[in-house]
Amino acid sequence: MFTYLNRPEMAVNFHTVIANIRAQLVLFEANTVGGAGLADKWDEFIRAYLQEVARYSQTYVSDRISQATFYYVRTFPANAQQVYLALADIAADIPTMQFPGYPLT
Amino acid sequence: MKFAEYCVTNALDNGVTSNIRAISAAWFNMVFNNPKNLLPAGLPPAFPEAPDYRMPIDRVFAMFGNTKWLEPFVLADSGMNEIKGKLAGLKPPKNSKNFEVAVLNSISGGDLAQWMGYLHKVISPLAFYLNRFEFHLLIFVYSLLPCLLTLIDLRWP
Repeated sequence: MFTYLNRPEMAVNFHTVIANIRAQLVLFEANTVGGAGLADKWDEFIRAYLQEVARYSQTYVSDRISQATFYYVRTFPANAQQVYLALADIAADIPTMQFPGYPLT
Repeated sequence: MKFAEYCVTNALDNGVTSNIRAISAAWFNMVFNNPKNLLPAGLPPAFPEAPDYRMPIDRVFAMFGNTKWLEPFVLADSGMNEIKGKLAGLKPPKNSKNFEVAVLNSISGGDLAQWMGYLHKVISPLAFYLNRFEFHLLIFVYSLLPCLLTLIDLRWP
């Protein structure tokens, strides 16, 4: 698999961006009228939103695996067995599709 | 912007609701992106060497990195960025009909990697090693290293 974000330093970077946005919201709260509560809102939002993106992504991949399996079972080409194994391998990665620090609940 | 929607409506598309007081839509209309209602000058810079951004929206978007501040950037292949963008918007990266066509094509002798590689690409942005059992095992083993080294040190004359 292409190991794009599969590195701990990327997770650190990811959390830094989230924390930096929060720091800006704190600044807006102190320097604008009507912005009180923005940072608390951000904490609440980012958790719910990232969980939703992870859940959506997991369902999407799972649905595509089911879709591919359906056609391979129906037609059973010569490489069907290999394809099932490869799909099982991909399916095993689905639970890892979560943002670090934001596990699905 | 989903965060703004959440602040104003106190709800996400998936039914998650907030117990914290909503932010007025007026704040997003009149303050967040309004060049006539600026932040005070001289606030702490958004990033080292940053210009004195006076609109909140500029400060928020600066946090994702830019040509003057590369640190938060993650360089990735454009196909992967497209997939990430779609997933972040809770939209399918590829139409299921197109996926089906690629699968059927591979059954009749076409390239299997066309859809199999695509599935790997969809998983990659989110499949962090940090979520994997092997990673936690590795951290556990590393955490034991000082004890092991001490033991070896004690036993070695």
